[in-house]
Amino acid sequence: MTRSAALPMTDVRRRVGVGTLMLFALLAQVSLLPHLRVLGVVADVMIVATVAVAVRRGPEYGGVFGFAAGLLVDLFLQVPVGLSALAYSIVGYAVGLAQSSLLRERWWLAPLLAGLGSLAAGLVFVLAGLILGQEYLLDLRSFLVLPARALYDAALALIVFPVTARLLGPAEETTTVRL
Amino acid sequence: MVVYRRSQRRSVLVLLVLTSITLVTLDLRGDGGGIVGSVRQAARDAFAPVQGAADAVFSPVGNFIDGIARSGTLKSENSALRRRLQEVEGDLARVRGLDRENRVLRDLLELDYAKEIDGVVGRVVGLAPGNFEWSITIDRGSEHGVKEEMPVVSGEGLVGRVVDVSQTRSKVLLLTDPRMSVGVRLAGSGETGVTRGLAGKDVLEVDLVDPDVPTEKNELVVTSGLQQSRYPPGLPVGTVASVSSRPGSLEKDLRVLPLADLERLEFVKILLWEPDRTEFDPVDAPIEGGTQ
Repeated sequence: MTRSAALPMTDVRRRVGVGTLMLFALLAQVSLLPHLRVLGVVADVMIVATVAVAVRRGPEYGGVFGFAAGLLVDLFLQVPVGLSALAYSIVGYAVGLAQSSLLRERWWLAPLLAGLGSLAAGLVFVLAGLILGQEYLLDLRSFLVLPARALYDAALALIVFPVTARLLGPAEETTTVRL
Repeated sequence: MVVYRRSQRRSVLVLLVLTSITLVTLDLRGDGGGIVGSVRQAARDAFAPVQGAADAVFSPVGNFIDGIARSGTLKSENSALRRRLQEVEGDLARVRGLDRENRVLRDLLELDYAKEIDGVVGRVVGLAPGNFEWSITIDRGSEHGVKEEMPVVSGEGLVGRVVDVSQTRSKVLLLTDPRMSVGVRLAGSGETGVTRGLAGKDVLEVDLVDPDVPTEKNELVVTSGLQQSRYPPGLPVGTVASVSSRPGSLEKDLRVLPLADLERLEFVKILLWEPDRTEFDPVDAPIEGGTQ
């Protein structure tokens, strides 16, 4: 067991950090990433940011950040507002719950969590969409796109996680377990 | 203490899920309008300048990456283009930059079809930010006379339909979106059918075509305009890319390649044409829940 040294980080500074992260992630999602399609797939930086926040701040923070991120994305999509919010908040909460038992210092953990979070959020989005009458989501392509997007998001996590760590400061519970 | 903390955490999740479901329900019941619709339009307007600037900066980067990813297709396209280039003796070399842009705009202003319908030319300023949507955002909105349901064309033919309008921006759902259906007519035989977008594919499926009707490859397909359709009659949609019939099937398997290059749109024209809302043609009415 080790206890990492935490830099002083006020609530105000942390909130500003969260707001900045949200704003830049939205800007990238709406304006940049649609131009950076790989084999037709758009990365989802909002879910990657949600997972990164959940890892640092726990389930409540992760859930609320995911809800807000999803809501903002929905405003720019032709889907019922709240669909991505539902998917991202569930994933943010779940990742936050799991984070206390994770080995935060392993480099591969960020892409792994982001990839799994992206996949899970995509599945919740598609399933909830189907329940809400968005039948067009039931397509073979949906299930091919989700793993591809997860890989893309995993790569994106290598940038988003360090940025999030810088903006939000050290994790709330600073205890890390090493094997 | 631990029990209290867990219960508090669960209540946060329950609250978020319930709020999400309430929002979805409000949006679906409001059919894209109401408070949720207003917030959506305000958000798009607020982001419009930033989105426009970012688009101008990042579009060349996107084209470069797209070029790398599609190198296989580009090789075959390249050899065909080389042959074409020899035929025209370098005439195309003079066409570049603003010349090309001017030509696109001139084509849009002097369409070979729908000449009697007024239109507004707009620049494409955004692509779909998600993986389950095939749309573009253009820099024309309600202040330019654009309304929902208006057809959108390029110099070559139909591109899609306006599905959401804010003051300065409009979202256009492309023909290739699976929620898009268009009532069409085969120019040769006069047979009617309905196109449907196939997610992620550049061809459209045409349903309801009689298997006994003779159909040829490359035959032109235009909007039918039947029964107060959502589109005026005679807009070019595409050409027949493949035809096949299965024994015993009640309809022909028909694929149509859109005339407009939907992946490289720079400028489009919104036809200021509104369908008669009193009686929609059921064939190209939106799929339920499709375009709120």
